[in-house]
Parts: sequence; C-alpha cells; structure tokens
Amino acid sequence: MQITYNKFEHELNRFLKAYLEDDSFDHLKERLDLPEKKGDSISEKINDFYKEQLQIDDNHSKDRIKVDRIITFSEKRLQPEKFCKFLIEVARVCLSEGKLDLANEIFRKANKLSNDEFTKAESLLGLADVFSRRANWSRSLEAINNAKSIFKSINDFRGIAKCENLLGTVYGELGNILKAKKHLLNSLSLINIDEDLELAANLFSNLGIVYNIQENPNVSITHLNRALSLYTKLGNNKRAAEVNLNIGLVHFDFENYDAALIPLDMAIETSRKEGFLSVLCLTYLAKSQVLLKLNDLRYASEFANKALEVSHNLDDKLTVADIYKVKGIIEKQLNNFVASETYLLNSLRINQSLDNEMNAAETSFELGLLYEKMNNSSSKNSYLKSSHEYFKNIGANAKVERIEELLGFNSAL
Amino acid sequence: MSNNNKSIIKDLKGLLNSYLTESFAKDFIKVLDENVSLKPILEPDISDVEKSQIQYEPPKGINYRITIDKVITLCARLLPEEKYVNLMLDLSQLMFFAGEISYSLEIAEDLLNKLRSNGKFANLLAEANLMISKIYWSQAYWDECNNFISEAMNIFKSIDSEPGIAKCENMLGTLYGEKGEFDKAQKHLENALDHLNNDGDLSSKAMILTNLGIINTITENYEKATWYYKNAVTKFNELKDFRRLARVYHNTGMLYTRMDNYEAALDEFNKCITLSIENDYLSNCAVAYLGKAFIYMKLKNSALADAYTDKAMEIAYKINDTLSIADIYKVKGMIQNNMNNFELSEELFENSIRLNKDIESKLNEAESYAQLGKLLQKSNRTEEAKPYIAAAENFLSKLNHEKITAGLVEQSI
Repeated sequence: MQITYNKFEHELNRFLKAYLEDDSFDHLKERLDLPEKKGDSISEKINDFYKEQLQIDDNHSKDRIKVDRIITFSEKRLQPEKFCKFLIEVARVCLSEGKLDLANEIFRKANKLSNDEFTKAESLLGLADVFSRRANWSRSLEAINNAKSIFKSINDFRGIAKCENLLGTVYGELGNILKAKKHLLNSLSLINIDEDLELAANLFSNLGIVYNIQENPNVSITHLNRALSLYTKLGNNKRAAEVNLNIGLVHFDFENYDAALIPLDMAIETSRKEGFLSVLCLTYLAKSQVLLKLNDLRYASEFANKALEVSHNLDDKLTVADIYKVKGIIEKQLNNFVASETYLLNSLRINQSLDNEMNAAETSFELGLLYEKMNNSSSKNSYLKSSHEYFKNIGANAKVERIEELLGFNSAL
Repeated sequence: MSNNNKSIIKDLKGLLNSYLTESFAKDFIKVLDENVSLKPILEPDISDVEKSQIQYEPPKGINYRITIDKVITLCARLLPEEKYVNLMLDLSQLMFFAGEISYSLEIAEDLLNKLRSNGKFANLLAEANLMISKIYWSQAYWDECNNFISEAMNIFKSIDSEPGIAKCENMLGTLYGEKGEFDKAQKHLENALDHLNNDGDLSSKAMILTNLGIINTITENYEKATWYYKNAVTKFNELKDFRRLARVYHNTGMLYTRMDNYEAALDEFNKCITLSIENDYLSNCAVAYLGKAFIYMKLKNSALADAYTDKAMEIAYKINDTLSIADIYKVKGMIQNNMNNFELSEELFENSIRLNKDIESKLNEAESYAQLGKLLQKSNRTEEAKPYIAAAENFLSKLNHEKITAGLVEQSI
C-alpha cells in the first residue's frame, strides 16, 4: 500500500533520519506506518446511536470570552474579598468543565488578590486540584499541604476534610490505595454527613472507587448509590454522571457487561448534553472497554479514539495512558501484535513517568498476556511478576490468583 | 451536535445571581447573551487569500500525539541515551511550535525528570530547563519562567557554557520585553550577544537579533529594527528554519504597521501566515491574524477585522496565549468603537486592561488605557477619561513612545 505523508510527518521523518541509523529508521517507520485493522461490528443496527454519542463540539473559545467578561464586570462591582470568593467559584466551574488553563489562571488571581486566610486556602486547594488533574503530583501535594496548614491555623475542620479528600484522590490516582482510603476515612470523620451533603457525596463516591479496586463490589455499589442519591438531591448533574460512570465500571470489573452499559449510556447522555467533557472522556473509555469485552472491536476502537482526542485536549495524561492500554488490547484481539505491543509500551512508559503504580501494574499485566500470545515467555514472566507484586500489596486477591495461574502455567512448561 | 456548553453558562449565570444585586445581575446577563462578534462576513467581500486564512482549521493535536508517543517509546530502545534525550528536547520544541503547549511541557518535564535522576548530560539538563521556561513564558507565567531560566543559567555557568549563557540572557530579554521593561530587556539581549563569539551559534545569534529588532521597534528606532530583522531573515533562511523565519516576517509586519505602511505590513503578515499554515506552526498564527485584524480595523473594514480577531481568539485560546487574548479584546474594542458601539467597546477595553494587569504586561496595559481614555473622551465623558489618559501617558512617556499602536503583539523568539 502506498503511504502518503502530511507535512508534519515529512518533518518528523526528516528529523528522525538525523537521529537514527538507516536500519533503525526503517524499523521505526515500519512500526509507525502500521495500518490499524478495523474489527467487524456486531451491532450495525445501533450505529446511529453510537455515532450520535461520539459527536461533540470542541471549540470553546467563546466560553473564555464569557468568563472574561463576567470577571471584568464583577471586579468593578464586588467588594475585593467577595470578588475573590466569586473568582474561586468561577474557577471551580471552569475546572469541572475541564478548562484547566482558565481555572489555573483564575485560582492564581484569587490567591494573589486575597488577604483572607480562608480564601487563600480555598484557592490553593483549587490549584492543587488543577495540578492533580495534570498528574503533577508533587505540586498538587505541596499545594494541598499549604492549604491544610492554613485551614488548621483557622480551625476550619471542613477545610481540613476537603484537603483530606483531595489527598485521598491523589493517592488513589498514584495507586496507593491503602493511603487513599485512610485519607478518605479521615475526611469522613471530620464532617457531619447530614449537614455537608456535597462533601459527603464526594467521599462516598471516592470510597466507592476504592472498594471497587479492592474487589469489594457490593460495598462499592452501596457507597456509589449513596453518593448518587445525594448528588441527585443536590441537582449536581455532573457528579451524578461521574457516579454513573463508576457504577458502570464496577459492573464492568465484575464482568456484568450488559448491566455496565446502562449507567454508562446515562453518563454519556448527560455529559454530552451539558458539555461535561472530562466525564464524557472517561465514559467513552469505559464504554470502549465494555464493547471490547462484547467483541464489538470496531466500535470499541471508535470510542477509544474519541476518548483519546478528548483526553489529549483536556491534558488528562493518566487517561491518555489508559486509552493506549485499551487500544493495545484491541490490537491484540485483532492479532495485530506489533501494534498492540507499541500501544501497551506507550501506556507503560507514560504511567511510569507519572508514577502511577496501579495503572502501570495493569498495563504490565496486559503486556504479560500479549507476550504469552506471542510465545515470548521471558518477557511474559517479567511483566507478570512486576504486576503481581503491586496487586499483592494492595490486596487485590482475584487479580493475584489470575497472575499466579498464568505464571504457574508458564513454569509448568 | 452543538452542545454549546449549556452547563458552564448556566452555572456562571447562577453565580452572578448569587453574588450581584438582582438588577446588576439581570442587566449584565442580558448584555452577556449578546454576541461580541459581528455577523459572519459575506464571501464575495473577501479575497481568496483571506478566505483561506479565516477558514483555516488547525490540525487536531491528537494526531501529533499518537505518532510522537510511539516515537518516544520506540526510540528509547533504538537510540543511545544522549541521542534519545536530544530527540525528546527536539520533539518538545516541535510541539511548542505546533501550539501543543501542554504536550510540549509534558515531554520536557518527563525529560527533565529523567536527566535529574541520572545526573548526566548537564548541558541537556540546562536546555530542558530553558525549554520549560519558554513554555511558561508563552503562557505569561513569568515567575515560573524566571525560575527555570535561573536553573538553566546556574547549570550553564557551572559548565562554562558561553552559548548556553547567551541563550539564557536571550530568554531573560524576552521575558522583560513581554513585561514592558525594555531597558532591562535590551541589556540582557546585549549581554546575550557578548556571550556569543563571532563564529558562535548562528541560530542563537539570529534569535537575539530578532528580539533586539522588537525592542528597537517598540522604542521607535525603526532603522535599527529593520537592520536587525533583515540580518535575522538572512540567517534563518540560511538555516532553513522556517518557523523562526515566519516569526521575523510577523515582527517586520508590525514594524511596518507602526510606520503606518499598511500595505507592506499586510504583505509581511501574509508571508508569516502562509509559511505557518503550510507547516502548521500554530503559535505564529494567532499574533499574525491579530496584526491583520488591526490593519483592517484601521482601514475601517470592521467585518474583516472582526473575522480575523475571532480566528486569532480561537487559536490563542487553544494555545493558552493570554497575552494575545488581552490584545484581541483591545482590537475588538477598537472595532466596536469604530462602529460607535461604545458600551461594548468600553467593556472589551476593560477586559484587556484587566488581563494585562493580571499578567503584568505594562506596555499593553498602557496601550489599553490609552484606547479606553480616547473612547471615553469620544463619548463626552472627559472627567472619567482623565485617569486612563494619565496612566497611559505616564508609562509611554518613559519609553519616549509617541505612537500608540494598540493591538500589536510582538513575537519574541
């Protein structure tokens, strides 16, 4: 097949030639140019539904104009400290819509302008959230700890609880599940659940995720349902969509695929309608995983590709790494082992550079499965062993057993 | 589907209602719903060149990412370590020019972490710091920019790298230039030249000359500026460095604009845009579009001027170029002023002033003050105009700046 290159690829080729010997260059090009196979769809009849789910508007410069006009207008009309509180709320709205640059800019402005300890701490917490969404863990943890010190100095227990919740999510993202759970339970102990519904819902939702990772689906679903009913009561559609996504993931993890599709489709519906891109992106990925299990490889691939596009635009590196993993599995199912290996190695590299132990372990597990199919037992053993160590540490027993089975099978050979 | 981000607008309006008095909120929400852009321009009214420029659709960043992620993963196995880190540096630079700012930062930070942990290649460690400083500079995060320059400078000094020190001095010059501190900027740029010996790095020399051209343009030493730009063009042509060449064309366009030679300026902007679009150098496009918008505004072609500001806004938002966004508001304000739409014009100038204040861009802030002052005078609000005129004169007189040429964003290198 004749491959045509665009300008960017031409430049990249020129560039790579300067670095690589001829043989290596040819080898690399071969892998870069590998065409991706399309799987056959078993669900043509619902094509239109999927196509509609994948359509989104991604030009948001007009939103920035509105946000700028609102800030300029309000700065003139509000007292300085009230204006700073207003800024924090505006930044939170931007953050929840995935507008990280804009949220960062506004939180920084609030932090710089305010002389009030509480507002300063809230702005630091907001910045910590921005950093964590970009997987910048050290800056996120630094900002959380600074915020926590201020909240402590003014005896604001709710503020401390919010810091503990964010610490829980950061450690969760890093794959340190035990530490994550400790912080989340700390946070829960600091609030009155009946009075602080929003924070309680956040905590139930995060604990639901932790219990799912620890392979405790019933407790996980109970927590997630509790969160869902609170968010519904509060009219927080975005968070409700997020919880639906997580409920879908619990069903997925326990191989209940049809049940998983119901909350996932609900999450997609709400997120598309309201423009919740960050939730939409994760839900596309989850749906891709379900379709993959249902052997609908074509649409699994379509949903993964759309998720990749959105996550790149949102600068959500962790999700990018996860999508590469799913793309690697899709290619493996299509017996396209070289492409599969490249995607899985991409995923592993990014997860390792972001210090995300859990996702790195999951990708290592998938690499182990791939190398088994490729009859490469030394690579298989090496990747499976590294993932075994992690899952054992967090107490994910079913996964550990599965890995031991795979390793045992190999040693019997 | 057009989701129009209903959620963010709904949430922001909700915030306005809770923070402002009912009447203020009601009036402002009504104004906010009006579009700040004019009706789309009719096709017969524009040339083919303009049509193609306005209809330009930037490439999707994800297409870059998929290829480059594979390159980074696979080259780790194919290249010796030193070559590999050099490649990563070049890839970060490539993505910077393509306007993929977050991705460029991700690659550079990953590189920095690798280099910090292995303790080798001090020169490259300094270059990685410098690359990150440039990324922060492009988003007007001056403190971060300055910190990374200092880090790079210390490393270059420790290994007696004169060309490295020259690059840091150049970067400091661009940093102070953007902040409107031109004496400091000039001093650093001259220092940079001193650190390069005669047969030194041609590319660095061309960059410094370009930046000296900018300072001399702003301080109205047009002959000197022309000399610097011509010299830089020769050098970048010799190096076949079309990205930077495009930037020099843009800056030459601005020089001609300041000299009121609009025809020559349009030619230069077109050269910049053609080269940039051909090669998808997105970071050049926003400012060159804005340069054209300014000229069409001067020529009273409001529809075309507005179409160019909208396109500039779309790109500036994508690459998080806050400095350009502030200037886009200024030019939009001038367009509305030309159309005697004083209320919206005033609001847009205020947006520009606020953003320039936030990012400490003194020259641009002064220019926006001047525009707002003139607008208020024109609408017979002489007393209100006085402080703005005075603030503008105060800054501009220090510069010996006779001509106010709002809407121009010089593009340092």
